[in-house]
Amino acid sequence: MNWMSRAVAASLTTLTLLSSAAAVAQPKGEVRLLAYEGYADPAWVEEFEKQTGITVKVTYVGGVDEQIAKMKASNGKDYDVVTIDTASLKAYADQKLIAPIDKAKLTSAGNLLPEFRDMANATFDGATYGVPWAWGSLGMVYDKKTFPTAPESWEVLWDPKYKGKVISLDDANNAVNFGAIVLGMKDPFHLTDAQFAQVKDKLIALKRNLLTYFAGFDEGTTIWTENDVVLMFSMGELAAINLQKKGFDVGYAIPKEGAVGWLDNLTVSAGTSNPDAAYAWMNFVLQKKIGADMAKKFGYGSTTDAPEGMDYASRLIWADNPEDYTRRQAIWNEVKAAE
Amino acid sequence: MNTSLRRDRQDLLRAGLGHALNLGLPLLFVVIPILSFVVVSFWTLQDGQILLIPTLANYRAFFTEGSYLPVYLQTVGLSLQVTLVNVALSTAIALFIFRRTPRMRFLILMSFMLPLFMSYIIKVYSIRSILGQRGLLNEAMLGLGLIDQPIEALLFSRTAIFIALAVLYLPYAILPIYLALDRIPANYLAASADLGATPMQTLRAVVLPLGRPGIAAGAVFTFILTFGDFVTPQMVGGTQGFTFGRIVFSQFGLALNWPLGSALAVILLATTLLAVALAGLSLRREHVR
Repeated sequence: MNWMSRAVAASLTTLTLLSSAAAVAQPKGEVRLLAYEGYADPAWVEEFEKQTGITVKVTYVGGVDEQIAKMKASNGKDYDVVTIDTASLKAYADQKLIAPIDKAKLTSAGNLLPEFRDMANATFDGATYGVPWAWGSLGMVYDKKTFPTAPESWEVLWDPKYKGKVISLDDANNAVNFGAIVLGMKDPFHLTDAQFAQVKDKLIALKRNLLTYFAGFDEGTTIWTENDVVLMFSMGELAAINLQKKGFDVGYAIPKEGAVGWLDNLTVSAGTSNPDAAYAWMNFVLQKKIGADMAKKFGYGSTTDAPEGMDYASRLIWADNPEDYTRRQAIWNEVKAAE
Repeated sequence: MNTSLRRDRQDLLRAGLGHALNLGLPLLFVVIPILSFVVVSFWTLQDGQILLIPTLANYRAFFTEGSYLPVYLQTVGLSLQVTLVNVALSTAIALFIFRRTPRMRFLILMSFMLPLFMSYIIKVYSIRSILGQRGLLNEAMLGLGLIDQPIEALLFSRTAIFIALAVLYLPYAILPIYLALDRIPANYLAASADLGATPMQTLRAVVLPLGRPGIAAGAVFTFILTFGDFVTPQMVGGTQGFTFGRIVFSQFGLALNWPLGSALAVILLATTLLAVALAGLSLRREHVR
């Protein structure tokens, strides 16, 4: 090693020491979020940036498929904090796209409501990979003029009376879950061959009653506003809230068959270049006031503040890892290719 | 002598570097990425894991399983339709521009190229807001009293896919066709007229034959872009919006079926290469004659 590389190495070491020392007191730099809409409200970002001096960069994704594709593309190096639903958490952990949570750095963990505190459904082989952050359901949005009271059953989506006025979520896994729940199957996440066949037929029948499929909250509400739609198998409470904001008289319901419930977790990307900034963001958003604000603005259930008006949690079927994603995708492709 | 030798060597080095760049950059950015998915297409997917065991199962799946082949054929059909209509339209538009004065030509050409400066997604969204049940077209026709009820089938139908793709990819056909026409020397047309040909005869015997390379290029561009588009059909086609590109796309999400996705992508690539080869072949025949 000549004197020059030695000098470079020495100064680099000093820099690293200095920056890590600074990081403990006040992490600087940038935190890159990969999130769903509503998880990085501009008001929170502004407050966080002012408080910490860390810049926030948000990349929004419309669905689980898009998210895993983005994470796989760089093995997580493009993002620091990723919000992942409980059902896909294990796939991310198995592929080492996310890192175990360092509980010592998670100073806001005490804010979690008791039922979310053990993080059991985010723990694999003794390591916890996610912190519960937001929950909700894949319920029904209905037009209140057409339905003065909420429809009791999901079967209304198959009613020929509403042909061409129904839209449905384009998501292989959740579409199969949905079909199974409507058919009353006990465990919609682990289907037998016979059940798969039934679900496929049921979804093809639904397709014939649809105006179109949609992906993402925005697309669902845009299609609703530009067309004559009265029923939607939705991505969640936010769909109804967005439509109400635009002046549409819609309601949100969980019909008697139930609905898939989801729980999104804050996770740290395995490729993060700034873990301190990542934890700073997580600790920031796990405050009760942020949880309450999120519930108010986006209709998500918060894990730090008991949400008002969301009284149907007991009727939700919490999302679990499905038996076979590849198979579900193949079946969904066949549904979409069916005449 | 010594200096000239050194210069020779320097020239050689420079030329070598040039060649290395010329070959290396396409190799690095085009050939290797393509080869990498050709390789993945022969791998095995077992219990959600990608294994490095060579197999032809992914290609077999295309021919035998699910709805891959029917959707492929449907998409080829759709792309051919769009190509046919676009080439006819673009040839007419290019001829129209070709007949104007040089300054007008530029203005008209630019106005047709303008959509290329806009984001693709914005164009798809605009098409959707025009065709929707409460869209511009329906509202206008309702306002004018042409219809009493909004036409429901405008959006979210095969027709909508067809219209959207044709509109989106029209400039890609106009440009090469116009450029081919633009290269026809003016005195060819004058000579044709002097020899007593009517404008129609000149068009058939001089202009169109000389414009053939442009028409072939326009057709190939339209076909390739339409065939690979996995966003537009999905966004405007409703339940009919499922195309081959969408199937390829769906293998790379949670399904994590990269081997099958790669095999389907190889088939997509082979189809587009075939389109290019057919276009080249048709031009070569023309030369011989």
